[in-house]
Amino acid sequence: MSNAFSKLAVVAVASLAFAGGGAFAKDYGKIGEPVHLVIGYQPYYTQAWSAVIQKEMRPWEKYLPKGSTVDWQVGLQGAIVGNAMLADKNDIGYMGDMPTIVAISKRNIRELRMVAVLGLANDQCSVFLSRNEAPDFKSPEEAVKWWNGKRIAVAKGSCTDRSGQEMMRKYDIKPAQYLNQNIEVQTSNFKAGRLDGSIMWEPTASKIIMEGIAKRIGDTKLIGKLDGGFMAMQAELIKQRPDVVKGWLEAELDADLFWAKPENYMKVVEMAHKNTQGFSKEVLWMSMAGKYPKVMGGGDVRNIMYYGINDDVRKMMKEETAFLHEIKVLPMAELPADLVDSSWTDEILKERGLKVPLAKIEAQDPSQYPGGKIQLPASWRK
Amino acid sequence: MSAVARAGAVAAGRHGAKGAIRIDKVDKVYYAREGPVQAVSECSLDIRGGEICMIVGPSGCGKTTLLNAIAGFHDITGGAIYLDGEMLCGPDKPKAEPGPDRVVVFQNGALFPWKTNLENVAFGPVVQRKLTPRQAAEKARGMMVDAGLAGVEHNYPGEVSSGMRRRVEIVRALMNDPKVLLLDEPFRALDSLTKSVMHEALLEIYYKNKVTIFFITHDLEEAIFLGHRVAIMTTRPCRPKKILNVDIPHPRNYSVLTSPRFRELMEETVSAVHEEAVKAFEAGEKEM
Amino acid sequence: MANGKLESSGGEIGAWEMFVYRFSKWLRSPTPYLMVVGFTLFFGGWFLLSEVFKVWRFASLPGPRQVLVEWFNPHPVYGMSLYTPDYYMHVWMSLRRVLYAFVISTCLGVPFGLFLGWSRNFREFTFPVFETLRPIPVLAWVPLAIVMFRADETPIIFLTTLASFYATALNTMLGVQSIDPSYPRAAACLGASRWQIFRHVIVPGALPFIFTGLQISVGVAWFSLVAAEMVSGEYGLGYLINSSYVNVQYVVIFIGMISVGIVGYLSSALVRIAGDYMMQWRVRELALGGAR
Repeated sequence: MSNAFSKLAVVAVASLAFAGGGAFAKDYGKIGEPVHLVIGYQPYYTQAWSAVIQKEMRPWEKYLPKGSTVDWQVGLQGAIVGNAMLADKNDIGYMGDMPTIVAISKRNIRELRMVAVLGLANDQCSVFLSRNEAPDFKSPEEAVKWWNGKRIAVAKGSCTDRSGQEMMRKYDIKPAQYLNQNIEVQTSNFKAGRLDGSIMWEPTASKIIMEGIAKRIGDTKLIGKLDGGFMAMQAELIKQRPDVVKGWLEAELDADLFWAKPENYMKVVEMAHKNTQGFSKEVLWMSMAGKYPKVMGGGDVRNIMYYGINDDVRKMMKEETAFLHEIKVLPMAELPADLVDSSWTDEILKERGLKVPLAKIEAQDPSQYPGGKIQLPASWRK
Repeated sequence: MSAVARAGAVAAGRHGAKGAIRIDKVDKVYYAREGPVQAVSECSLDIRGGEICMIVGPSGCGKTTLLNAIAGFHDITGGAIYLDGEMLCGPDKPKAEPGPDRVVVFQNGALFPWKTNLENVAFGPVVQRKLTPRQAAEKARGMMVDAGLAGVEHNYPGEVSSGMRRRVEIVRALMNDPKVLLLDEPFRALDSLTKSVMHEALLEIYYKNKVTIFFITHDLEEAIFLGHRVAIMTTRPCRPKKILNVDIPHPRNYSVLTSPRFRELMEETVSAVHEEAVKAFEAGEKEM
Repeated sequence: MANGKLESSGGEIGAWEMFVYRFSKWLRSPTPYLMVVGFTLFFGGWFLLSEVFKVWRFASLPGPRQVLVEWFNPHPVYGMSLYTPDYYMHVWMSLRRVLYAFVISTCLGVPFGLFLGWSRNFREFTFPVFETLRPIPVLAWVPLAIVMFRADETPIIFLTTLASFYATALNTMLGVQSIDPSYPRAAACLGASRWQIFRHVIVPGALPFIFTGLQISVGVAWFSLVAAEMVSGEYGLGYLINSSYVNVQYVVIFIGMISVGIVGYLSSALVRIAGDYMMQWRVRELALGGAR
């Protein structure tokens, strides 16, 4: 017994000595060599569909060294992608604003950088929903005041959480319960009549609305802010393979430009349809480009493709960081400036003679759906 | 009347009563992995009321099967068993009902570990609703004192010595005024010193309560010391090979062991037992 | 059954005295000191790996010092420490759920297990269904639980009860099956009816196994709680661990885990103590060095 113990002790000490005093740095290979990348992406998050375009149309093949391979890891929620990046399981991640800020702030765990913006919008990340039986109000502000004393759920740690908390603070709303539930659980609860309100991201939000499970009452116009999606990368990747970083971001710009053309909307919907389950093309189209009535909190622009990081974006991130610190999610009130690296997108945009923002996706009336007639839900009000 | 005297009177009153067992051409076949085994075949034995009948034989010869049949734990596949003329089991009723007229004292002890000694002893009459718990406790206390068990009423069986446990178990059985006491190698697990003390204790108890005792053992010395008669059984199938009349008078004590008559009886039976033991060994019998 | 009501025996020992005696004996034995050594090695190793040597992936984990600092911080960075009332709310909610689940699973599981062991017919009816449902993990029951139950707490308690129920029922059944057949036979000889045998022999005879099952079931309840509290949404240690995961607050995850460990251990110990109280005969047997 003591013999085995002493052997174990020797092994333990030896492995300590071996491992030395640092975390392993991943080796991405030399510049110009083929690289293998693992991408954490969210097909169930419309804001991050540029990743789906990258996956299906493979513009990256043009820019990365020949023979490079890409692995696509689905994350059902931004926090999952963020945690995976911190665990060095993903090299590049597509996430909502809150998970990105949280992830890059954890320098002591891993060095990450935000390198691009997927898009900013009022209603890609935070669509406010109330149960069908809720009374109809004239404006989103009134509709959201109904949430006082009610059961509300959001997925904690996601952009919806931040919108929810900011909204409650601004309008001084005190729900009876502010629950943490993932959006599947929220869906079940709406169906079971056990939830009064929630905030969801697209495309699930449109699915809930179009299938009549709950009704839409507002978006982040309520808090006067935009929500966003960002791209983050491993700092090691940036350090070791600037060629890969540039290549990926060139491809990302191509994807965005493709998406920006209205004639391509349906193609993007097809690609998203291929990468999701349980979503009809109508719903996916509505989530991306559908126009919701103003009284339901809809607007004229569904998404602003930024791609690059300008002062607006930095300001937005600064405000959000401060807010997250206030609600004790982040230990610091400000993020160090070097965590956001806009140099890559700046360079590429300059080379191509483009400016930020790239384009807008204008909201389109459901009658304009090219794939046939969209059945409007009972909750639809003009 | 004190509890002791009362118990004694009851016992004396029953001295005339029976407890006579008649085992009539009993067969028992059971099905083991290897195939059907004839444990008992055409076994007939008459046990007189109030006598101590020792059943001796090598391990695995089927003695316990007989006991189980009388007690009602197993059925028989042929023949019949009678108690005082009434059929316990037979052709129409292959399995007897276990009951307080034939109480078993088990080889490894079956005092309920979760009840105190007193509660154990009082169990029978309480459960049969013959006495109230208070009455039963009083009677039990008395019988325990009689059996030299004063002071351990409120201990659990696990707290007292194995010798004491055996005595408690015997007293527990006797509380029910059984006609027959079925003892399945009860002293086997005891060391020889305790065993010899237990022999005298059992005889003392017997002298106060004259029940029929059906006692299985493979200790020949024990058999001759205790029994009125010793039945030596053949090895599977089980059948009485030789029945020995032990004519040493009761009451007996340990000086009997060194008496010449004892030696004679031992000589008479040793060879018979040995023969069966060899047969059993050769048949590769494992302990049942 | 001679359970709590102990009359004075030759040694004048009651249940409390027995407890005190055993505890002081325990203190005088090497056991508590080995326990301290064990914990020291564990925390020491963790400390060395994550804060001093920063080995491999341990570098990304908070070490015990960081965890303890936050846990005992009057103004915790992430809002959760021994000084914040919310923390106790989380502990209490989890504890309450485990308590309900444990009581329900015991009240259902023990009789169920007793009948499973005692009646062959019952066993042949129900055991196959029982065993088929058993491997289904708690998480798979989550959607069904939400749909099945109206109230808030019920789905969580249901999910926590599930696994506990199985542990209790199975161990109870094994307890019945483990009873030496001599005991029911002896009882039959002594004139007990089938029901009396059940009451006086089977139930107390199965108690040791039942209590083993109960200790396991408390542990399993805590185990399932994290999964079950995903349904919850507001309070509970499992919820705390989950939400600190999505907010990448690893220190709070550890606080949650350690809290579960401590409270879980205490609840298990309580069950053990209750078992000792109900099974005084074993306690005494063991205290006196085993059956002589």
